[in-house]
Amino acid sequence: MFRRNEKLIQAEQLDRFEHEMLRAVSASEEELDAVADSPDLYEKVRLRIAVDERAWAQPRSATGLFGTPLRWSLAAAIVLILLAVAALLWLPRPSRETHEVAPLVPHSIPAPPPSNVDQAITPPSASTPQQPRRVARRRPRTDNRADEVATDFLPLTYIAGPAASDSGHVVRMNVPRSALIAMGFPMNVDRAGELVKADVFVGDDGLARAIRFVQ
Amino acid sequence: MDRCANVHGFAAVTAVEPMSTAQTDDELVAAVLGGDEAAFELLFERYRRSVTRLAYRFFYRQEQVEDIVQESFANAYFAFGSYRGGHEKSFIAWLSRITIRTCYDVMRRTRRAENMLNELSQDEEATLAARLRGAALGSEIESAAISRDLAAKLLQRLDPEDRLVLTLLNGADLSVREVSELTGWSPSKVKMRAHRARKVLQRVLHRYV
Repeated sequence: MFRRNEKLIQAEQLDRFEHEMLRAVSASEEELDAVADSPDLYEKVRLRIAVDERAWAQPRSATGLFGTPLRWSLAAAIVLILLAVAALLWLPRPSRETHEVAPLVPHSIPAPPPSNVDQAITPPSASTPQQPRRVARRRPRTDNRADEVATDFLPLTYIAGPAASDSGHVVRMNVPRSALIAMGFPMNVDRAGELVKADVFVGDDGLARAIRFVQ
Repeated sequence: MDRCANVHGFAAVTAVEPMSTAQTDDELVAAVLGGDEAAFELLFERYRRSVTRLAYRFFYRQEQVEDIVQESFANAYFAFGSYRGGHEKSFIAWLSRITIRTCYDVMRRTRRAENMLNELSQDEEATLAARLRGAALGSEIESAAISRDLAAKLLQRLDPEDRLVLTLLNGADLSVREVSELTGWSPSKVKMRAHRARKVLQRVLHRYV
């Protein structure tokens, strides 16, 4: 109770002092007269107007484009620079790896020699002229073909003969693992039922001429 | 806002332009807009005292007040195109708004410089504490007895907006509505500013109670 009364007294005291203080700063009539009755006050006002008029009439040297004050132009430039820096820092960066694209190699595989099927079919890369090997790392491909390991094309001897075609196309297919045995490859008997990938060279007559296994 | 309070100045002008005494403010403004400089001088003579009185509410040094008066009239001169007359008190209300805006701008411009100078000296602190203690004992504090420098330093601790509102409300005894019209701020903003100003001032004074 006593503390509350004390607070009230203090608040009243401060209010009162505040009023007194604000009244204390008001000017006396003498001070008022000294300024208001100053004989050259009007002349000073006229002079001020003339100076302001001249300032407005002069071309504004401190303005930027479109009359924008220079400081605003500078501020805008700084903001733009900061935004550019932020964009550089935050946007996803392109990978620094060189993405040199290897020269296109024709995908069509040359047909195996038609006449002499006893010769081993050489892989297509062997018959094409040597390309300079790229040391640049390639971007990972989605179709895993680059990671594949393949055997050489093995001729299917049952079609040997002059009727053999010298052109055709390669077909990727899954063949039973037991087909490995037919080509003389070792095979785990327990997995004989599984399928393995194979590229089969099919001639224009529709007959399979060669096969290679892919892992 | 005493209209035509400066009798001597007014008489001096009317001696030059005897016909202009009958002219209303609106007519004089129209004449100024038509290029009549004498009309502007007459308006200046009519209201120089009012503007000076208003400027003295916020500033205490004579040269500073003189500067405010000059700037206010110069601003008014360039703003005559926006003046819309109509009723009797409108010109002085319009001119007061310009003066207050000028004072407010100067307060904002000079605030930083003034802040560096408004630290109370030990003597001023002692004087303030003594006066506050005296008030608590019930003795009347005379306005004239309070050092103007001390009061000015205390007021300079307020934001210009707060100082403007507090001075107009408590120093010039204007109502919230009148302050709102003069400043162009909403009544609620005026009340809020006044409340804030009192709080800040009381916090400062409380140290010395």
